Amino acid sequence: MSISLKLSSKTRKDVNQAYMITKSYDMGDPTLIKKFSMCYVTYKMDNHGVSPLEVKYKIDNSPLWSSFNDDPHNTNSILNGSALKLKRTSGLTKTASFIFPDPSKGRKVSIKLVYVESNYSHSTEIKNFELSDISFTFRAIQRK
Amino acid sequence: MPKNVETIRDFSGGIAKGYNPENLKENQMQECVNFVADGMGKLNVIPGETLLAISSINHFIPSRKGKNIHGWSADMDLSVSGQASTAGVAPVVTELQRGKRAKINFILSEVNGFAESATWTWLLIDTERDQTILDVQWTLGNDASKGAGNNVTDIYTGENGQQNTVSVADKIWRAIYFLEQIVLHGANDNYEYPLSFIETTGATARSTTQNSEADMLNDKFYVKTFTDSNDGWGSTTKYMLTAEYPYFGDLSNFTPCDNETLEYFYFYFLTKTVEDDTDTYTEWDSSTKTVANSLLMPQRTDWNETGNFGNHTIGNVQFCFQYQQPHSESTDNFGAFSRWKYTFEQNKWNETARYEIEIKVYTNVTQNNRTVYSASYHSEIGDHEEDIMSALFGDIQNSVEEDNMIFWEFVDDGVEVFQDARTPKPFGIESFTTTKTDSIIHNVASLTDAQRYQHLIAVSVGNSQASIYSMENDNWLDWVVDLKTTASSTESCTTADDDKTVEHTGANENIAVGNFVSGAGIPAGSTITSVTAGSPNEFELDKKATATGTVTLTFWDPENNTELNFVDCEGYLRIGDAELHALSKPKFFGFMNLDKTYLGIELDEPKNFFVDDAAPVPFTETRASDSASILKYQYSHLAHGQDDIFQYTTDDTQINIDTPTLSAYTPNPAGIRLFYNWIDGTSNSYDKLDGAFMKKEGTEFWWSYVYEGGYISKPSQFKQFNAQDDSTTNHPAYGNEDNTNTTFITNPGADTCSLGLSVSIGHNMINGDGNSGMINTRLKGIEIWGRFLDHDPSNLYLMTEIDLNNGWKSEVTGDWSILQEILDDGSIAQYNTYTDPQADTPLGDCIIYKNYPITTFYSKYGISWDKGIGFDVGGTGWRSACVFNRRAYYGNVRIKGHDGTVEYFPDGIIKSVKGLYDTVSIDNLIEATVNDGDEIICLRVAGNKLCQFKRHSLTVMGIKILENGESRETIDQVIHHVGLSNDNQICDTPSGLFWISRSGIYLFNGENLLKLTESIEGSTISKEVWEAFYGERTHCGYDAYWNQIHICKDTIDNSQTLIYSFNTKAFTEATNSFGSSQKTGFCQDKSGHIAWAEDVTSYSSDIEPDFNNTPMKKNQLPLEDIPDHEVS
Repeated sequence: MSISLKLSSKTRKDVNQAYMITKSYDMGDPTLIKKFSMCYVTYKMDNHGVSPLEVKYKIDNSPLWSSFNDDPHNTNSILNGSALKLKRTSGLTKTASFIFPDPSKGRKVSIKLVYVESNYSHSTEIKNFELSDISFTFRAIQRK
Repeated sequence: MPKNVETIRDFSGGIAKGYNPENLKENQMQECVNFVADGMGKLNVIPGETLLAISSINHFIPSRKGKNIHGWSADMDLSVSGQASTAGVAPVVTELQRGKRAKINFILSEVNGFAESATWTWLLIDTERDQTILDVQWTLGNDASKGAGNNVTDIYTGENGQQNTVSVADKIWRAIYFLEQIVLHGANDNYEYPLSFIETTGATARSTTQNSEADMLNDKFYVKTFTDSNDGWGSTTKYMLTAEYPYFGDLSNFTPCDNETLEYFYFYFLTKTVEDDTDTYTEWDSSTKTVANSLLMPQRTDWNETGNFGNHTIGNVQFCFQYQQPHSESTDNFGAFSRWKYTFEQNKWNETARYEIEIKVYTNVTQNNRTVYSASYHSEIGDHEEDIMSALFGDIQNSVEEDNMIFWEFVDDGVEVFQDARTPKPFGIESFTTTKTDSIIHNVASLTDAQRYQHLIAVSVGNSQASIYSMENDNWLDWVVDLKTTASSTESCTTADDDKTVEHTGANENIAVGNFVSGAGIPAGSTITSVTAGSPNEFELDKKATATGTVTLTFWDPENNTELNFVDCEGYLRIGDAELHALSKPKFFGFMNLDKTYLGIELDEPKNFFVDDAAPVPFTETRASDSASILKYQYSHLAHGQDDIFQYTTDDTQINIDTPTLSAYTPNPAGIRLFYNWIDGTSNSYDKLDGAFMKKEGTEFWWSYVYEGGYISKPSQFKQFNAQDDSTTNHPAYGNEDNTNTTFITNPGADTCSLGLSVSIGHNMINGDGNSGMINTRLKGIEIWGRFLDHDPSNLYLMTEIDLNNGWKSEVTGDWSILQEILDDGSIAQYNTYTDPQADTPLGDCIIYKNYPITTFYSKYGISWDKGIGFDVGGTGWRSACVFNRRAYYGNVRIKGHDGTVEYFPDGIIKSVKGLYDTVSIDNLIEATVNDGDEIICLRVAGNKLCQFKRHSLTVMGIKILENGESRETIDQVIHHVGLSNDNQICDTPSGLFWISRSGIYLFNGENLLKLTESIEGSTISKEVWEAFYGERTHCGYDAYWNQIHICKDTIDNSQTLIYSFNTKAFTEATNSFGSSQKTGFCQDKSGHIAWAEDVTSYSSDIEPDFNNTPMKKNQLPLEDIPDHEVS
């Protein structure tokens, strides 16, 4: 046994697990029931191909995280197996879009961004991932 | 109701753990693991880590809760091992990736069954740049008019290029002509950067000329046909055209357009295969840039298709498809951005040089135009390699045209320069050169002290020892600082490889169950599990030995795996046993130049790092050797009364001095001989010099040593010269064994006389080399004191100072005077305050006191001369220390008390004499809060406040500087319930002290205390979550590079880390950090990066320590042994 000295790097870590869960967004009115239609995630990441970052959502107090539907018009969300993941962006800021399954109704929604290792061994990097914003499109349904 | 859009742009609020997720602020998160909110709004991946060095010494980090690591900078010289006077290695440039254009194959099957009005579209969009690369729409036309078997103009058939007008089937004609449209449009449709097309060769190549576009590709393009039914696409004939993209970059940047915009044709790109929900083909491998050979056509569930494409029906079209793939025949064809690396790992800080770089950037796709960019920087002494690289590449990036923009980023051993998708026109970097000229290595003489420095990191490594790493030299010093007052117990033993049993014949009480064992072939951290007496004796280890043979093993009690405390004061490190074991004594470590340059002669003495006691015990002896020598049986520090040294006659202003030298007056080589002469007129030869000394004035002479780094030894009294009772000679051959040296009191022979002094010091006091001769490594001066029992018996008065470089001085003589070399048979035998003889010396140049001296020991040092000074015996030391206003403050101390016995003051702080960091005394004990069931854990400075942390409280003290320059500590406030468990839980930041306590996380800037947990103002952590996280091994460190605090849950197998970013004042978490089996706390390197040490239990092939303690990877520079000097 010996000892090693280590330093924090000038670069970001190549992590092999990560996740973030947003707060529950009620879009300013917790009493209003909304029908959520789309979620947009603006981000960037180095390199190419599918990343291990899956995007999920939860409406109200659901105990489970749900998967979005793929948006065939958007190339930055990629269906990998059953997981809808972010595509790497070569370091450019991109927006991936996700479709809430119909119907997705509730008062609040939260998003989970989670590292799920791909079946492909080379799809483990999320080098220099940077999340810029998350947007939702929704329609107010009724107030109960 | 209309659709609404809600956008969350700010995640800088970090986590708010343990609270209702609905109640969080808009920018907060419920969880954030391995991401960090460290900038405006955004969320990034946590910083990475890099290996600095592995010690080749077979050691391990003590499994304790303390910090056990310390980084600091110190002035130094240039002759230390590794800090050679040679130039640093010049930067080198390597091309990591040549810029490549991506190639695309356009593949068509034979075209069957379309109406003549059908419009085919082939759309290729670079979505990264929002640019259309190709947009071809072509109506098939009246195929009936063509009819099967129509001629295709000028089709080359066969590999000999024979041009023929051949009759081909209509389905072939359509396919080829569509490809022809691609060429036409791709090359000529006024795209900003048109595609170019590549000749396809081989037996299956076909080509056709395009008469309508005379200058297109030399009037021809090439189409390859293939019919291999094993390619997974069925047996139909395919026609392929290969094009090159207009950029040098990665093809993965190109994605197909939405297939819904296409009519009839499905457009697919292999790198997108992962979006398919089948697994019938292999994804493009971005690491190897290959595609599996057995490529199957992609399938989508919404096509309602199964099986290979060749068997598919798409709409009403059978056996007809359009396909696009990256050229799969070689790895080149996916394209790549140009990337270069500038490697510059270690700049010699004492070297200046001109660094130049030149980068040629292509400005067109054919790469026949380029622009040259260059930058230069002339480095300055003390520049870090980052300074040089920032200067060079900052200039370059600012000057490159925006179209061909290049980027650079720091990596751990240099800079990478590249183009990427952000570059509008990435045509590649043609070349990158670097030069280094005008290199000058600045020697010691040309450098100021501030320019000679290096950064060091000390790490506790068990057995009361510390190992030290030099960042500038990139090596571990190949020895350790050992705090033990007695050597480790060793025994010759016999080991067998891959066996836990060790044999030995000797008796050794330290070979006991539970004790640690180290040595060659013994894994670090091994302990004894059983002991069996016999012939030979045996003991069992808990780990198997890895070598066979007879080796000397070292044994020690687990208690000696103690925590160590470190404090650096003006470049010198003090290391103390934090657990205050009786066998440990605080140590001093620092770079010293032992050269004595007295008289302008630079003696060839070592310049290196040295270890000594924090409070060295001055060397003294009573010599038993040296038979027939005057020194035999003599004490090393003698006072010798001698008449007529100062030969005064009334009214003289100049006198002769008869300095006693050599022979009977020789000083001990490592000692002092003080000659005193009462000028009282009693010798009958010379007159009395009138002065203030009376016959009743009993006088003692004392001496103390002055040590480099700030230690004054407790004064000791000179002993009387022991003359042999031998009346046959005036110069006795040697002392009398039976008449031991004694302290003594001398009185003048007459009233109102003066006192003259002459000092001789042994030659080894100056020219010893630290190994032989020079005994006290740190010794730099001597002070000689007088105690006047009638005048003022409570004080010692300074009579003479000797500086081993500057000479001597006294109150009555003014500035420094040179010491005189006294030769004996051509060699220096001693140094004297005067030459022998020295005639006509002005009285004012002699150490002659007509009146009592003025400076007392107390007035000079502020401490008593008759009490213990410094941590000078085993078991003394401190639990925490800090430096403020050029004084060291030691907290929770064990030190000699008023009665000379060691006392423990868990609530006490002892401050050092100003600028003399090892000079501490019970006189300067401060006890701010006592008898409170607590003890001092840590001392720190925040702003202008001294902060005393106990387990449960913080006492903030102000320090007033008095008119006389002394300082006085006053209690400003006591804050309860914010204490520390150990010194590993606090760190200094630009915002103040940051620490973790059982009650939460705090920040104190000297004025305001902020609680960062359970704060409604920002990112926060609930009490419940914090209680689950916090433990006594929880520790923190500040990373100045990232402006973040890392709070690790544990030093053992750390599973969770909280990250606090000062940029956003928010917490996030990490799970991938600092997870070694055992680690230290944190310190910083010279660039502000957080640094820590950890146990290494497995090694990669390129980093493998040599357990024989020789240098290794990242530790390759040759080491020189430190002189094995004595420290007593």
